[in-house]
Amino acid sequence: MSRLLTFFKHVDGWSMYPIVALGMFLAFFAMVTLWALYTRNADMDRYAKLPLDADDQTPTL
Amino acid sequence: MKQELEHFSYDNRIVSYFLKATILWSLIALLVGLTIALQLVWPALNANTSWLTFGRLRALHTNGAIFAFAGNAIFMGVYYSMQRLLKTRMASDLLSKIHFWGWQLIIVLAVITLPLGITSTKEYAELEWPIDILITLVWVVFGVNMIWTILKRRERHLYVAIWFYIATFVTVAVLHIFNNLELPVSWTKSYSVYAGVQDALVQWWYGHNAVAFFLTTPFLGLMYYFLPKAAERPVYSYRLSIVHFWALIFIYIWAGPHHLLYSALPDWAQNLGTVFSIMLIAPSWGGMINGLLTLRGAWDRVRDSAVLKFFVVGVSAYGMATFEGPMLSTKWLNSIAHFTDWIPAHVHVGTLGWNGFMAFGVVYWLLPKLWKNGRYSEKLANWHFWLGTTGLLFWVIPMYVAGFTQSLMWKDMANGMLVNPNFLDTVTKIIPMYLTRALGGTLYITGIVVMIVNVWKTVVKGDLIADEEASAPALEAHKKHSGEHWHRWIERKPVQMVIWSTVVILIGGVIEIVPTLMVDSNVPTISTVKPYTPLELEGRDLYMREACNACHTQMIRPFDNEVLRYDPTHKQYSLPGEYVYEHPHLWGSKRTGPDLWRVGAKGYSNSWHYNHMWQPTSMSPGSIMPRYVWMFTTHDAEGNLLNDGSLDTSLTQTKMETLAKLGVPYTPEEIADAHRARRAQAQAIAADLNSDPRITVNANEEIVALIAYLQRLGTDVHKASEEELNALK
Ligand code: HEC
Repeated sequence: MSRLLTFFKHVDGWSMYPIVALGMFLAFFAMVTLWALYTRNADMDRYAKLPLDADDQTPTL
Repeated sequence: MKQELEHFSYDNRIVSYFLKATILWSLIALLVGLTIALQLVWPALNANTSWLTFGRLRALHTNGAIFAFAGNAIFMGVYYSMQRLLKTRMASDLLSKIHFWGWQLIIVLAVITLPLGITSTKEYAELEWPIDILITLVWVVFGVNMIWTILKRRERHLYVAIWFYIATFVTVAVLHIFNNLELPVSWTKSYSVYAGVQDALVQWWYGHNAVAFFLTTPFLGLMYYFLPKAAERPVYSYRLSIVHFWALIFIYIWAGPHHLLYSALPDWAQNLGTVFSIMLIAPSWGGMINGLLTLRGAWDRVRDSAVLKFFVVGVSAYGMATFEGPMLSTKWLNSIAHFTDWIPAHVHVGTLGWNGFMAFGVVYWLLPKLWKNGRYSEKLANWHFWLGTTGLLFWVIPMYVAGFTQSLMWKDMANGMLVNPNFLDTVTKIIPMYLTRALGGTLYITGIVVMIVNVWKTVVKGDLIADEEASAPALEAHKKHSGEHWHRWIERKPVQMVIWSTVVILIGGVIEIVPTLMVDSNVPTISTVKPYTPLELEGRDLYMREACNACHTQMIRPFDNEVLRYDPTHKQYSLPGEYVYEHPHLWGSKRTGPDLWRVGAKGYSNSWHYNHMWQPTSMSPGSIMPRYVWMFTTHDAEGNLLNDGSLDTSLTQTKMETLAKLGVPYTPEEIADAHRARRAQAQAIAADLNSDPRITVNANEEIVALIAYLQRLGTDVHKASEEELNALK
């Protein structure tokens, strides 16, 4: 812990923080977008219809 | 393979409970709001009664609107939609009931304690620690019931609405616990474990994310369920909803510091807040567009359906507020709008427009579904819609005007001098706007009354379908087959889903909070800043009890006009090191009255404060500050006691001990000597006051402690040497 503390105390320019945060976000965003793009159309359509009452609709197994 | 159908029923009774609670509390919370709005025009409406006065009622209004009105609306929608999306009844009727009654108990306790001045003073988290613990317990009951229901579901895929509900549960739990860490002094009093800048940072990390995860994510969940239902078509893009969800919960948690721009908060944290706030536009608008485009090709229906009308205006208000929010997070716009009436306008577009209208839409959609043969009236619902929309406009437009007016007048300078040096001039100017706003509120509330009539007709004449029959095939035990997409693997495991959402929100939280909590070098201390004396400490607690911070800030930003206005003699803005003993910080968020951080250095006499607190208009004609007569001991003409304004000093030492535990350097000797020191200081102030022939005051009256505190405010820094101050800048 004390190591960590010394680290924080010696980082100058906290301005790098937003940059790091932005980087993390972009990586994360890319991941999520790829995932959304690679899910099958048929699945997406079925998921999207879940709130609508379709009694004949079979649930996913 | 044809599967055996299982028969079960949905619990509609719990939904009907939450529905009734929603409309009841919406009326009460908004009536309290209207009362305080009118008090800003006619302060005498508090009838000189402590528990009817602005500061205390303001907390009741905000807590009521957020946790009672919006809270019950969330649970109403969650309990209805979750059962259907998961094709199962709620896991435990008992837990549902405990959740419902527990939540109402919390609200009732808020209604009792906040007007009594029992408050932690942290905005939107004012309830004192025993109620905080109760909230935690009830919240856990809600979470257990929800996750248990998810585990026994009959539909494999968790629809995106459920993700929003899960994120809400997890994040609110984290926020609530960390923001409310406080050390009790008694059952009704505690001090925040954080001080000054840290306290402010944690507070607005919480405050901002309460907006995000109590007023946004659950309502987005409701939007993703009820909007497609009402439009009878699936959401525009399910892909977009996935990206929307993850991006939103990831970004939101970082944006809190935008509430503290130009404050004594370190620059890096301010920049972080700005960057992430601007990025928030993307997922917010993604969500809004997804909602509105769901209606593509169905716009003709909007004309005929009150429910869809409410949803369209609600989602549009969300779009407006989430565009405005990031704009307000830029330093430029923030310097103009912060502390003005612009912010209440922004907030009410969100609560009255987005939360209110979404809640009303869900109520109207549910009414004919839950009660058969009722007299639900579409016509009345439409009336409500138009009253509500007009009310909303009459509420927000004058407040935008008021915000601009204030800001321009505050900042107006000529030849290095303030054009409006008297703060009061900037107040009297906007009173007509306040009156128009109250009219807007009245219209909005009239709409709610119309809704109550409609609900009444449906509920009393109709029959509740308490248990709605349903059937669905059981869920087969899932075996992971090779080659399956990893995302489907996560979404099938709700526990993983919970963990991942927690990780995502904690990343932002940890990175933002940890350094400020640990790095003392972030807050340079000032050698002359000392803890309050026992009497001043009691005075500060009175300030908290009355929530003076609802109208007064204690944070002078580094602008010429602010230092000139609020510290005319020394022209010193607020420094982080001045707040190191402030448990909690009292920076405030709105300047209905002037900043008070250096009021002690402004040269007002004790008797000025005395007269001002007794009757503000006697010192500042036209003031809208309430009278605080209950802080004075008063007698009638025959000498009978009318009001006992004696200061309660039974806890003075315990308070000092508690603060000492939190790092405020009170020595054991000082604590032992507290009562003598307090009396001596009080007697000196009373003697000074009594030297004015028109004043008779006893040293033990509350007003004396309050004056001691006001006279101390912000003066320590002026004792520091020139070199020390220069080194800090
Ligand atoms: C409804 C809003 C409101 C509340 C609540 C409120 N005030 Fe005020 N206060 C004002 C306004 C407006 C002014 C400016 C006009 C005046 O001097 O009365 C003011 C002025 C003051 C001033 C004079 C400041 C100066 O620099 O001239 C002091 C001191 C003060 N208030 C203290 C308090 C205290 C202490 C409380 C709580 C017990 C309190 N106020 C509660 C609105 C409020």
